[in-house]
Amino acid sequence: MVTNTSDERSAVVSLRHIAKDYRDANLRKVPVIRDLTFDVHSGEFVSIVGPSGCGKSTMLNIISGLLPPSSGSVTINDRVVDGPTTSIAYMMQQDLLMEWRTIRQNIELGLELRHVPTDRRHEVSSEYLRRFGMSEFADSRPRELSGGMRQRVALMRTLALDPDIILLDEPFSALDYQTRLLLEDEVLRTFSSLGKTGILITHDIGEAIVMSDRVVVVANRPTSVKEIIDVGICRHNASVTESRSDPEYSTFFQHIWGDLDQQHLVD
Amino acid sequence: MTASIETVPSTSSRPAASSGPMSEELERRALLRSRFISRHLVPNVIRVLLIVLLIGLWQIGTNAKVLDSFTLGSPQGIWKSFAMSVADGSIVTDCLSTLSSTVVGFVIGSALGVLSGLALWFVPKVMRLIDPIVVTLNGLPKIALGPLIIIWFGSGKVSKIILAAFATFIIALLNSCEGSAKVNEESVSLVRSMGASKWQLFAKVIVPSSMPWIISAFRVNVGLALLAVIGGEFISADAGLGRKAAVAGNLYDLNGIWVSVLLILVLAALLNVVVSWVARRIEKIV
Repeated sequence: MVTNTSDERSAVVSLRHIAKDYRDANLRKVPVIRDLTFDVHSGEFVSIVGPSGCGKSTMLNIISGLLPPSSGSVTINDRVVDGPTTSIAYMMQQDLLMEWRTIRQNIELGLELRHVPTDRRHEVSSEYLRRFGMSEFADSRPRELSGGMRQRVALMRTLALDPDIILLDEPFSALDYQTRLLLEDEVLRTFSSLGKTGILITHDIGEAIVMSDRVVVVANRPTSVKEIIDVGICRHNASVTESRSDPEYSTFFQHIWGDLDQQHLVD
Repeated sequence: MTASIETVPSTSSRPAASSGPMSEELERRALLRSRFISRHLVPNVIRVLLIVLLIGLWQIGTNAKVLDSFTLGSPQGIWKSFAMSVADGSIVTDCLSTLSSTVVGFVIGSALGVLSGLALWFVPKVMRLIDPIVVTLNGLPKIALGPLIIIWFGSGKVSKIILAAFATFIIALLNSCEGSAKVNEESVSLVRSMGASKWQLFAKVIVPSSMPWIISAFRVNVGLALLAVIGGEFISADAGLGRKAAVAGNLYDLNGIWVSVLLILVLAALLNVVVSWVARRIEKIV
């Protein structure tokens, strides 16, 4: 069960010895990421799980091209990343919807930035609104929607850019548990049917297990890859709630929990 | 009119219900009425009565020689003074003069301040450089520059407009800078991750996000602009409510002073209502 399979499938995202240092308040070098090396394959869903404060958001910032690494490289579709590209989109923890725009305008934001003509933009946003059953909210404002609906809009905004790879930075952590389960399913289904590659960062071990093909467990600061675990129970279960009842679920859970360098209470 | 439901004649073949849409509507209307009375009618009536009482006592005290109308003025005297100003048309001239100076100064100062503040977002180094200077200047009551501005620009409306504009400019500048700096960094990251250029980031994120700060500057500035204008008119002016008050003061015409004060009060209230209305309209969009 604990394997680090090297796939014959093409690696869409490749991290090679990524390291990142920050300078603290006294300008001392603080290594946040020591060595990150792993691949993500086309159409895969990979979760990154680590203890609190291990620089997971920094990782995503580096992969997306927003932040340059101190050393090492990220390759996407065989091209080295040196800035944001169109093949990769980033869904953040907060929905970051613009309150002064309608739902439709929020979804079309990325397309607007790329100067896509209005009718084409409308086509895309209408299609996604229909797919997620939110067509009636096209002209509403974000403040009229619940947290779960807002995250759906953020997801639509991300998908509208038609990226190959989508990075997800704990996008469900601010939602209540039931909405979270619903969205986990929706994301999985959407990614599957659209053939997207997903990289999810989460604190929720259960979420990582039920959503991923593989789980990358990272160590505490300075972060490095501890283990990569083949999971994949989402592939033969119809929903995340079924996956949570899968016999292998608890085994994976115990394994990952034991792996994490959590600070324990001293007896 | 009783609230007995059973006596409502039913015009349809359905039997009269003991609770139905008709009776609920009546109940709702009754509640609305009583709420209006208790929350709006009664308090306002009491407020008006209190003011009338105050004015009445003032006048009675004057008539009874308990209050000295020379030093305090009197409601009757105020009314006479007001009527005279209306008769000779000076009311209109003075009010319009102060109002127009305030509005023009406010608009010019706000426009320049907001544009400069937002433009500084593009050059953070410059912003950091001049920030302490601007903050220090803000501490200066702009009216202190009154005599200077009036010497340079004369005692006409231009000097008042400049004073109002300067008072408004500093705060509009500071608030726009703060608004542009306080934009959610995650929003900036998100838009950058979508490949936005600096201009796109500015137009689509920074400007709309800064609006709450800019609006709050408006609310403060309209009062400061009026203050600057009145202060300038105190020093030296050809017309205006401040000048009217100063002239009355020099003549020890208490009633004249009161008329000016009350008119300035009305003006201030009017300006605040307009700015609040504009602010709410913009806040609805943002």
